[in-house]
Amino acid sequence: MDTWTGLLHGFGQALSPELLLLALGGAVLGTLVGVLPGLGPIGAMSILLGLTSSLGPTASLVLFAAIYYGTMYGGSTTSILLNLPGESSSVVTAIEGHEMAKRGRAGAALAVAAVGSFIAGTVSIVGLMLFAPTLSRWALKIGPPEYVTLILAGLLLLVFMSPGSVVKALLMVGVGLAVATVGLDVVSATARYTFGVPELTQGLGFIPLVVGLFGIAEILSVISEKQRPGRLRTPGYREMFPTREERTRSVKPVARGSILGFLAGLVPGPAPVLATFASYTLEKKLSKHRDQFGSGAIEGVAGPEAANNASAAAAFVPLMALGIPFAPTMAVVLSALLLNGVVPGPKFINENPTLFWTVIASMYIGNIMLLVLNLPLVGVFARLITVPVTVLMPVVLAFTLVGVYAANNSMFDVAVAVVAGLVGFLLKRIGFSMAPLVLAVVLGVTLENSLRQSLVLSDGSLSIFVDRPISAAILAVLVAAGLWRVFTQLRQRNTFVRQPVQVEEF
Amino acid sequence: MSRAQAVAAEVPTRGNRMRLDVGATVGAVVLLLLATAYLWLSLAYQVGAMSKPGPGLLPRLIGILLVVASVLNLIATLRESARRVATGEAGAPFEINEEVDRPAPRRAWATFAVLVGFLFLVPYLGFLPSLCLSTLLVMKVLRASGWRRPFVVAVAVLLVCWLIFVYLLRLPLPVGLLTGL
Repeated sequence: MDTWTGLLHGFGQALSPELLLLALGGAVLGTLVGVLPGLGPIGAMSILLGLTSSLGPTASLVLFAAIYYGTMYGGSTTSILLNLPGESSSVVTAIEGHEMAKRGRAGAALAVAAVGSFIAGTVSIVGLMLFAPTLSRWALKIGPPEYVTLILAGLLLLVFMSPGSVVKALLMVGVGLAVATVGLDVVSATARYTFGVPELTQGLGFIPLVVGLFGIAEILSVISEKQRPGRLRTPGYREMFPTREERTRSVKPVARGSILGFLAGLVPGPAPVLATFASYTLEKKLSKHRDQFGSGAIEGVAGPEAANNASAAAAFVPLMALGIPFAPTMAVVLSALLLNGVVPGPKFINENPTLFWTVIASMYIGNIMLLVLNLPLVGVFARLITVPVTVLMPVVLAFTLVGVYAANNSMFDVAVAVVAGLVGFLLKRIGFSMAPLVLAVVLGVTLENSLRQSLVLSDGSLSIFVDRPISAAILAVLVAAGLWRVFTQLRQRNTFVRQPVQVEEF
Repeated sequence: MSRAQAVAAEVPTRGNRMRLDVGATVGAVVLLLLATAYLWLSLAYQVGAMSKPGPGLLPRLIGILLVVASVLNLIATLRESARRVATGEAGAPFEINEEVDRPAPRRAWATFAVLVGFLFLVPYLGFLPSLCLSTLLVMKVLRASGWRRPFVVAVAVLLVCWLIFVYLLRLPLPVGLLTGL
């Protein structure tokens, strides 16, 4: 199916009342989740995973995609109005956005964020649409050795790019891989790390793990923090229009943010967070109004907001073209597909053209919905933050528990989620991040199978990983990234000494 | 709270920060112990020949990675801890914030206890009644005032879950021995 027929076909499907309703529901839910600090897209999706087997693959993808970019919109709202980033990807927006709000330009900041997000989201979907099928045709040529290097590269790039300690991220990758080895080894029929527990022979389920490590752990973190009541003042409709100057100053940052975000979304790692930080730094360097940065420069809102939305759509590319999720969010999307018996991989787009194009079309529609919804309803969404944690978190927790049970009809899974919740909460408190762990759990099984197949193919020689060109190229990229990380770490070591002084001024 | 107040508030809570470091150290030691156990258990599985790898190959490699990484992590944690105690340094900006809004991990533990209770109650009370009860308890853990609002919320959760999962999706939720619900 070529691009235009595919797209037309997709719109034909996506405009059905059922899918429109799901896209709308997802967009609203995503925005709400984005507004709430603590609860992120992963939490929301994992709660809903239980529903996906009744929804079917297309509807699940439509819903999850809408939730994902909905959170990107929602996160900016509270950043700007209350200086409370709802998502880690909106932290940067708070810097300039809230300053603008203090100067009475909250409306303009929100409008620029929404319109910029819309443009970047659309650009990025075009990229996804053109890029994913091409990449998957190319990916048909790859075999087990390439999968090994690709997965290793994915995990290690995540380690290198994660903010914070490399050792900690590496340790979490190890823990994730270790968790993935629990269960029956299919090749040799050996039970590994099951300790005689029959439920463990099937391995620890990904869904209860992700629900625990992200959903329940997040809830536990939120309730153990002191609540900060925010003073909310929402801007009126008239204030929503940016001035001519604000508009012209936003155009280029949005364009740059879109491209930057799309590229960041393609590589493993916390793409939206990295993309926003990179975009902010870039805009600060390029801006003619550099002196205004820190006191409400609109470029600092437009660029990062565009970047995080662009990275959201781009994250679908590796999943759809290679079947490998490079971000925890995409791992949840992957499990929704697996629950429906759809296994993404290089053949995915060719074998499921209707699914692919419907999802693409619904992404365009969802983006328009979000733009239309967000501007007039910004006050309503922001007010959600005034719902007390004492009510909100127990309710979210209850739905989480039902959600885990429903995904597999298993109380054992609920128990796994509860334990994983505590483990995740404790690990986060001492500075570990959950993303490398979760991705390693997902990729571990494929890694092991591909590694063993490769070694059988090569009769035990490791040279198979460097002799094949694609595999060698991936390894080269990996080495380059490793060196880059070492280099930046060395440079940072000097800046760290100065940091406390900067912090006082922050 | 202004920056100055935040910095001032930090002095008496220094003990609190040191406790946080104890947490990190204990965590690092536990991770090292678990990593060693994992590696030790992996010895029971056959590694096989390179040309015919067995079920033990990857666990062995992961085990080594885990032990090395957790030793490095322990060293880094101890160093960081020692450095902070020695210099009394403020640390990263996020930690200052954490001390101003002093975290209440007790609530998290209490909530976890309720969740464990939930797991044990399900066989007797059934899924939805246990869920309703634990929602109520979690709200009390979070110091929701009075009983009326927690009660209303818990019953609302029960009804909504029943409506979506039992009525609409026809999902068989576990039924309790005692209640038959």
